[in-house]
Amino acid sequence: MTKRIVVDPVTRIEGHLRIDCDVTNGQVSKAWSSGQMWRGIETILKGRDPRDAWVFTQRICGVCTTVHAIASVRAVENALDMEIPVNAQYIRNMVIAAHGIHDHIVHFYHLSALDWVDVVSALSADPKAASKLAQSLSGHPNNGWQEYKAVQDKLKTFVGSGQLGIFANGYWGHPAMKLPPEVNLIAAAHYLEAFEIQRKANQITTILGSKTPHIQNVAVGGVSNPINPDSQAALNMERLALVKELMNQLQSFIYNAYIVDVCVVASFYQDWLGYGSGVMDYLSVPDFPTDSKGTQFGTPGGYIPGGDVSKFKPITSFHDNYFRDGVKESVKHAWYKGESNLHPYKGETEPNYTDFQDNGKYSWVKAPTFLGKPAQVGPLSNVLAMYASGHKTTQKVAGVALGKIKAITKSSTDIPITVLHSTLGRHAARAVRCAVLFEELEKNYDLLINNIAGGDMTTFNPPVFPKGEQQGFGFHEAPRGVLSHWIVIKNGKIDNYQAVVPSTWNAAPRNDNDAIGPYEASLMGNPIADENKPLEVLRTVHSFDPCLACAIHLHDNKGKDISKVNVL
Amino acid sequence: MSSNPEVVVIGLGNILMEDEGVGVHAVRHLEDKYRFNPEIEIVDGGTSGLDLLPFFGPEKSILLIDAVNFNMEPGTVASLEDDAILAQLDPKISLHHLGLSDLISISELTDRKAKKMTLLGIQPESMDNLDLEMTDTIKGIFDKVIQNALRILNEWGIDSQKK
Repeated sequence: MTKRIVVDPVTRIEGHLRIDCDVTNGQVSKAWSSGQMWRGIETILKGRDPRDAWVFTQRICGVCTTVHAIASVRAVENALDMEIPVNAQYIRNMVIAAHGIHDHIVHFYHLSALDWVDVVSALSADPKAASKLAQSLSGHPNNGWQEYKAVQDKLKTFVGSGQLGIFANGYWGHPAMKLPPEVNLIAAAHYLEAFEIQRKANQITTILGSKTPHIQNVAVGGVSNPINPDSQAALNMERLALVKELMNQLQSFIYNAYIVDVCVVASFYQDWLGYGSGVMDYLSVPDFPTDSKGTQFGTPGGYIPGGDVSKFKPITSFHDNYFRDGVKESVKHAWYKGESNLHPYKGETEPNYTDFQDNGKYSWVKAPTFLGKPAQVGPLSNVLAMYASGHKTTQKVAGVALGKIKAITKSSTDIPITVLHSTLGRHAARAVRCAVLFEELEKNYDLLINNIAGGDMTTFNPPVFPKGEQQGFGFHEAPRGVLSHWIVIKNGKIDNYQAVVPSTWNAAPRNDNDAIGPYEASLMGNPIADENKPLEVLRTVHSFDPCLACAIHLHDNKGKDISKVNVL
Repeated sequence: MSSNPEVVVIGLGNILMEDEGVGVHAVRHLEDKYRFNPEIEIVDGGTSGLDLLPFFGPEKSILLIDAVNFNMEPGTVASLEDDAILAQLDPKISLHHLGLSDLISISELTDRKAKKMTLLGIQPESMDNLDLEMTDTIKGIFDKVIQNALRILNEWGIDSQKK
């Protein structure tokens, strides 16, 4: 017997996503991923000055502001074939790293941990046993039983007040919840601590980017931060010292809490290292450029067909033709009219809403393809690419994580790297990548300090717009994966602009060949314990860190108790 | 960033979507056209959620300006105060990964609940199109939004003066 379940909207994500699944004999047998928001940034950008595009693109989404600013200036610089000062690369790299660390931590603890952690169960934990367990797992400083008791008391007050708030959408007591109360308490404590940690990562972005949530320091040609070690109005030694201090506080949390917690969850939910693989053609791009042209990168990226790391093909520069020519977008199953399989330079966004049709059009998200096929993007794709390239920190931290899972589960055999092709594998890869981002943050900090000490204060090369037409693309390995902006400039003005965002790749509907997209593929075969509470669907979809171009966020009144509203 | 004003005005919304951006347009107007005494912090919050947590704290009075669906006539300006904000806003409807209601809950959970909080809400007319301009209806009541913001700030002991 087949039953249709619809999750709409999927909560604890950015944007509006609907997931439909056919469930046969307790397992997902068909799936549809439907983005419920229209996108078309080019309608706003057409005719504008390319130097201003990033100001608008960083408003596409509330969480990914920084990444759209970076991809946009890279696209214009690519079109103009510009070089930018290395100081600007280092500063951008630090902003990117701090933003990514912030994003990965928030994703695990605040957007998806509640799929695995039962906060209500934590209330019945023994704080002393939790402390003992936590100390056996890592040297995290806040592991005393008094600390766990304090967290438990706080949760009791919060849950007891009836205002469950952020916990309201959790599936407490669901049969698929498996962590012991003490583990739930440890995770809940780190959930709270992560609010403070993410704030510190964000503070680094604020210092370097001049402001959050919308950074103000990027510019086509570099960054607008003047560097002057002695000036109060510039990026000076005092501010850089504060960045260093904040960095130190992040490191301990990443290694002693985040990575360890992901391994603990994976150990108690080992079956989820087997579900959720889906599309195994992985795409990522290199990032953290350290030269002015964008040919040397801190983190490798490229294409891995069929999950086979031995077939890895690297993408090697900001002008890489393999990447540029490989990307197309299908609209056969998306609510747009016009020709399908267009290259982003030729991309169109003419809406054509038809209602939800299982075999026809059913999503506002286009289906991007690489070499004609769907591709999975995100930290897992990036980590596999780095692993395949022999990136040392990736190999080391991945080894530590797999070793930890082996130790906790008391497994007699080694845990193979192939477990990463799974729902929990995506979380593990994100934690590994977070450690890599931290290393890049430290590295670029040192590069910047040394370069300033050498007397180079340059941060900006002014762009020049020739007559005629130029095309350019800018890519960025964003927290959710490959982000690319594509621009066509005519006589100094924007003629076309397309953003192919990470969640477009992953949330893609079927393409021209009716091949299912990554979310859809990853849901196939997932067990569903309770069709009315499809927690398992959320687990797999959340593992991608969905971000459906946040166009709208209007606050809705519940429509009751109107007396509390003062009409003015 | 060096001073740390107790009063914070946060404008929320997406300026790419017509009336959705009214909160951001309002705080930009306040920042451009007025001087405040004592000094206040003005934040263009965009569509952020958790990024706004640093602006919360037990010593803070926070004025939020945003498009709100009150199910009233477009252009209606209304306010909600303190606990009524959370009680009135449906957390599930927030399309943000962590919306305003979550942010308020988290501020409580992390001992950063604001001393005082008012949401100045505007019923939008249209936010279905990608357009930087607000509708004429909302442009027509924009001054009312500004005047109410100034009045609330005045009640909180903040004098304002046109630049």
